[in-house]
Amino acid sequence: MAAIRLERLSKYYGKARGVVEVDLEVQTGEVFGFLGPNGAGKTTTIRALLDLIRPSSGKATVLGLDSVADSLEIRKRVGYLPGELALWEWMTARQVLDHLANLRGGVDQAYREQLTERFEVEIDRKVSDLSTGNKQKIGLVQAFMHKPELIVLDEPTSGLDPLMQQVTYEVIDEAQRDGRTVFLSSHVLPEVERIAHRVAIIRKGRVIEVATVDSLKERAIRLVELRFGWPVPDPAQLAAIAGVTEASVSGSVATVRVEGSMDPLVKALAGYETLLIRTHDTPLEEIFLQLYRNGADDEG
Amino acid sequence: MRAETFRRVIVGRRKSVVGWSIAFLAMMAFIVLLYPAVRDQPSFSDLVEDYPEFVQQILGLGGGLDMTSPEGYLNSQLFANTLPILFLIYLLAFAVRETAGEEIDKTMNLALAHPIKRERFILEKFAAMTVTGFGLALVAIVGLLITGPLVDMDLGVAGYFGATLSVFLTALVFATLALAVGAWTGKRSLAYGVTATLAVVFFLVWGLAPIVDALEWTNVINPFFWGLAGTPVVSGLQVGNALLLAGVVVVLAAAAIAGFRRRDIGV
Repeated sequence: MAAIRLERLSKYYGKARGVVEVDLEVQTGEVFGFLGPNGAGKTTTIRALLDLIRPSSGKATVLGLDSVADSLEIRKRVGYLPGELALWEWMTARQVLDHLANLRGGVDQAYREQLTERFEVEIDRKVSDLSTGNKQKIGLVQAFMHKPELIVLDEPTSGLDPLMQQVTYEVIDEAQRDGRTVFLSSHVLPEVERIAHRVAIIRKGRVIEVATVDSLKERAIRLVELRFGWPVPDPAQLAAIAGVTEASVSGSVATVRVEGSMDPLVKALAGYETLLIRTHDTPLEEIFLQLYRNGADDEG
Repeated sequence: MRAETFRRVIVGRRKSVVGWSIAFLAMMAFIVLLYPAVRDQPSFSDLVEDYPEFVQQILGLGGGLDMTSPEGYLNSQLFANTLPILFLIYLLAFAVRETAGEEIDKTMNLALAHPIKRERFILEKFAAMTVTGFGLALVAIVGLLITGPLVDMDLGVAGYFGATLSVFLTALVFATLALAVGAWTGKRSLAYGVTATLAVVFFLVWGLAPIVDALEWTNVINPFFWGLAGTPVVSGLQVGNALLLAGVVVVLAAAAIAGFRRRDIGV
């Protein structure tokens, strides 16, 4: 069973676009990344899962339940960290967690305490005295503390220092090892690369790509640095090789961009004295930006 | 399941409620203790008699109430104006804060992602508003019962209770309307604007109705008429009117729930 299934989900705010005909399936037990820049529709999609907003058309199914008709049951079994987290300023962290736990009819106290310790939550300080990052930590604890089957995190590490980001990744990993599902949105790409198995990329309200992180990387353009003996090939000769999209030569060093398979390049290099081959994997960020630019071209 | 939202709202407002209670007590004492100054000046009555009927009515001295009598004094200084205004300020702010206010603050977003039905969420907030407002009404009654004997003013529990409860219910009608507008729209200024405007209009119309024949029919739909006519301070709680006010409150609360259920939150 899919943990989340979106079928042609659309949401308009008046005439303004939220998301348009989103189809998406998140499998039980996977960590799924939802990528896109601000305003692309990530938060809209997530809030529809929790019935905070209602689809204009299409359908969202969460844990096999209808997002509107069975919302109460869904909310029992889902943990949620809002993108723009707001907590009751007059409460202490402890009171916030007590209140939210009570809304659920109680949670496993031992696990809650373990989480507050790991996230180093300043439990008896007032929310109004806490920094953004410290509030975010309370938000993370409440999203995990009832051990939900599905955890939906909207920009989970925003405002966190690297140490706490690490704790967040660990807690996500543990949840996943327990067989629970994590759906997280982010515009921080290394984060998704680090923890997600699959990603969907959303742009201007439409999902433009769903792929595993590995396959995205395979499709990536690689930058290859080549050092030649004699003779050094012309840039034009290199650019003519299949898969090479760009080539430049400076002295005995050539730099080429290769898309897809390296095979044609390697075979062509057999005709030259090649002293050194150094490849640079494109970070996911580059892939993302590229998908993005392609999308922009489509539209233009 | 515990009424967790009710509890949270009450706890969050405990300081405010204590402050309001003190203000209510002080206001009751202030008004009551000034009574001898009016009582001993019969010329006040003559002065009021010369006022236009509209002004007499607005002052709470319609129907031949004498300002120097305890009933007339309290009605004109408290029940027909000061107390409704105090209740309106407290209850309207509460209603708007707990609907549109919390939605704008975005804490509602987190609360409603938890397993609580929207109807229950609004209902618990309505209950918190009503219970604390009723608490202030009790404070007012106690204030009158304590300070009255100091100036030989004793209208009895029935008079105090009837008048205070009627005024509270009248204000609660407008506050529940604010709750409904806040729940339907999520817009703070709209909730305040609509309700405050209606309250002022109904209050003025209540003053004009006895002298303008064309407005007489408005009494049928005017919460101020339901709350103040029959002069509860003289004759005790007007049960029919009180039930009518309570009925309208229930209908408006149901409207608040219906509006809130169908909405997108925080957009």
